Amino acid sequence: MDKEKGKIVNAAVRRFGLPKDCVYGDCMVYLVGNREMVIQNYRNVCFFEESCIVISLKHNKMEIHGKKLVISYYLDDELRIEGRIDQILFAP
Amino acid sequence: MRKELLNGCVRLRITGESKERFLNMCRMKKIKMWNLKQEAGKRDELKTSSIVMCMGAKDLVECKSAIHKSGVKVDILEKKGLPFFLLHLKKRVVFAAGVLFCMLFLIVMMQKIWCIQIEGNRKVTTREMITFLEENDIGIGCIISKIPYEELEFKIRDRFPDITWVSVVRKGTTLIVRIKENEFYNQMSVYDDHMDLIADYDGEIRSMVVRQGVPLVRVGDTVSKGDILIQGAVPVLDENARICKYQYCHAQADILIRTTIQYSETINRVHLVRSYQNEDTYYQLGIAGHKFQIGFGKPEGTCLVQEQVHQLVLFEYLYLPFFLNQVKITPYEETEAIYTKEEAEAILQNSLEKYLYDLSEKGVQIIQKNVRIIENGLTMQIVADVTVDRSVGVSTETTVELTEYGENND
Repeated sequence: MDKEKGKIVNAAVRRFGLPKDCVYGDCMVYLVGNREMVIQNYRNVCFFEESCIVISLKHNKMEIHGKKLVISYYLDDELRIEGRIDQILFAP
Repeated sequence: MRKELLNGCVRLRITGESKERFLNMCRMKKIKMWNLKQEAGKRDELKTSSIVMCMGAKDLVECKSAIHKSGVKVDILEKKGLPFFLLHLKKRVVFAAGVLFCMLFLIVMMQKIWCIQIEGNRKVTTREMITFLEENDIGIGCIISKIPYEELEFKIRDRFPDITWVSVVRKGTTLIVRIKENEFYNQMSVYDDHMDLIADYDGEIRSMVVRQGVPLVRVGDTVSKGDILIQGAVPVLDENARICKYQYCHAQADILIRTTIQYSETINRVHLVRSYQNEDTYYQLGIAGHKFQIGFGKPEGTCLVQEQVHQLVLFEYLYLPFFLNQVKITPYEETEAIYTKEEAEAILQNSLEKYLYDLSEKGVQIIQKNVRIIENGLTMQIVADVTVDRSVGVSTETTVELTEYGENND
């Protein structure tokens, strides 16, 4: 049932050009080089350290590895990370 | 950032195991946080690092339940913003009151004019203009909102016909009156017709170059003051050689006349000599017309007083009614002395030389001078007859008119 529902949703997105972040609930990530990162549509921050920040999303988790990572602002709908970003991993 | 400083913000250190839980709980309460970073080198007993962050002062009160639930320890590192500044000022009430009083005083002072500047004037003196403004209730201390700028400009142009352009503006507490005077006023009359050229001195015509008009005199003629030299009405003759009409013009010519100027000056050999003593300086503070002296008073006897006024000005045009007068007093004693004959003669000669120099600066050529020095007791007089060649001619309206055909009434 879920698989069929998923197929219908995928077809609707493809056919009608619907925004995927709204339909799938995916996060939006804006990257400025490897210095700055703005993330929207996330759940919360799981882990925060200077070298690693783990953010939980709707379906998975995102790990950001780097050096001197700082959260410039942490709002309800958006957060910005600054520093030297070395790696972005999506983990289940 | 300005809003945060206005409402007050704090910088916190969060330590404990569930720091992230605390952050998420604050986020759920829609509390804004910024500048979150791991504090370098600081670890607590459980070897976990601490987070330093900023949040609003009011939000700190709201996240008390989050602190309690997450079990973190919160230390306030810094407090910034207006509310904390006002709290700090509570201990310095007099200072704060002083600052407030100064600001209010400045605001009140800026409602009036404390300086008037006149720019561009040459014929019209600054004193004359300021006196005229005072007659129209515009002076130091008048209220800015009550100055009728356009009406004042009309009145200035009416009162001073030589002024062709005037602008009255206010900058800060300074009223600036900019004027432009008519420099070509005398020359404009050249373009008027019906003008004769008459002599303004007696003398003998030495040279004459006529550009326009009919000459009535020749080189070598002796003329008196008021005689017509060049007529501005050119007669037009018909076939019977009778004047049928006049063509009017502005008579113009370069005429040199030889005339004699009499110069005379008298001086009294008895004069007063001042012997100055040591100069002293004292200061006066002036506030809105009242003066308060600082230092010793004015010495007795006669003295020379020089006053220099400095007015307090903030920036360029924000004058305030505070003055510092620097008064220099030099007492002196006057004693009588008598010029010797040679000294008196030298003074009179210098005076004559200066007069002749001024004449030559105006283009007058000096041909001859006969100088006599007359001694009359304690007075000495210099009398000089100076023969000069100078330009002559003043324009006046012609009186020549054609009344009947062939006749005129000149």
